[in-house]
Amino acid sequence: MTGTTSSLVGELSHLEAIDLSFNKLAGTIPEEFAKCTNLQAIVMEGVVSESAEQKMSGTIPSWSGELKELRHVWLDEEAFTGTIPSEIGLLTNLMSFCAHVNQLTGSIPTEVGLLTDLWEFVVEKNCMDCESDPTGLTPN
Amino acid sequence: MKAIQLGSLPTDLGLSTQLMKFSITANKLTATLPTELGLVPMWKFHSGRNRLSGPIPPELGLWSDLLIFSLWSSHNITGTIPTEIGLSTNAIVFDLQITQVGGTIPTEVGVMASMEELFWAEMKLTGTVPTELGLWRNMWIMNLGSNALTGTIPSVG
Repeated sequence: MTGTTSSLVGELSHLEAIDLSFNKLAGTIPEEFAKCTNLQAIVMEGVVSESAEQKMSGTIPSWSGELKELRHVWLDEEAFTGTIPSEIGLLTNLMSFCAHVNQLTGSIPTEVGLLTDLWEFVVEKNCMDCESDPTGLTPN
Repeated sequence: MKAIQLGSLPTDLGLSTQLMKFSITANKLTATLPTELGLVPMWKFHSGRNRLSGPIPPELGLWSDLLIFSLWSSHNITGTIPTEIGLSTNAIVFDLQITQVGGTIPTEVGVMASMEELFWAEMKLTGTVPTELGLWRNMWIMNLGSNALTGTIPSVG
């Protein structure tokens, strides 16, 4: 599957899980996802060998904090940038957050500590705290 | 140039009472290890290749379910190996390679009988290798190279 995710997905208000992994989908997480308030799992794992043009990009939206039912967020091997929004603390059912091999920056939000069901937090191979590095935004 | 701030991992992480897998390997996090992290039921702890600094809190010895502990290539992690870490009797991988952690190897680690892979090279370890390490019957990798250890290699018990 190639192309971008359709904004029509927002019409799927009963959607409980979406798995778009291992495709060549590009683009950002559509804002219309915010309407999918029953979503329990967002799974978008990229293919390791793909170029950045064939990966999901953009930021992890702060409105994701509105998806109160979210239990699993898996965004591994994509090209997401920006910081982990502090609104992650609103996801009181969140059990796993995995975003290894992306280009996330910033620090781990203190709000992660509010997640009493969280058992897995994986942000391996990103660029967290790269801003504080005098040598610039070079991935570790 | 932006001021360099020395951050820390959120102490509130200790409130994530189900946290079992925490992996921040290969970022540039400039942080110290909060003692509060000892409160979670950690199973796999991967925090190598960052800019973490300071000592390993003895409280991490409360991780009785610990399987994997890695702080490899954390050049600014200092202090000693806490004796309390010997309470993690199920640990199979313990990686402190390329850190500033020094002092003697506590004999308490001898009870970590499940240990399979020990990476303690390029540290500041001194003294002798405790004979208790000979009790680790599942061990298949033991790297103690480039330290200042003395004495003899313990025989297998």
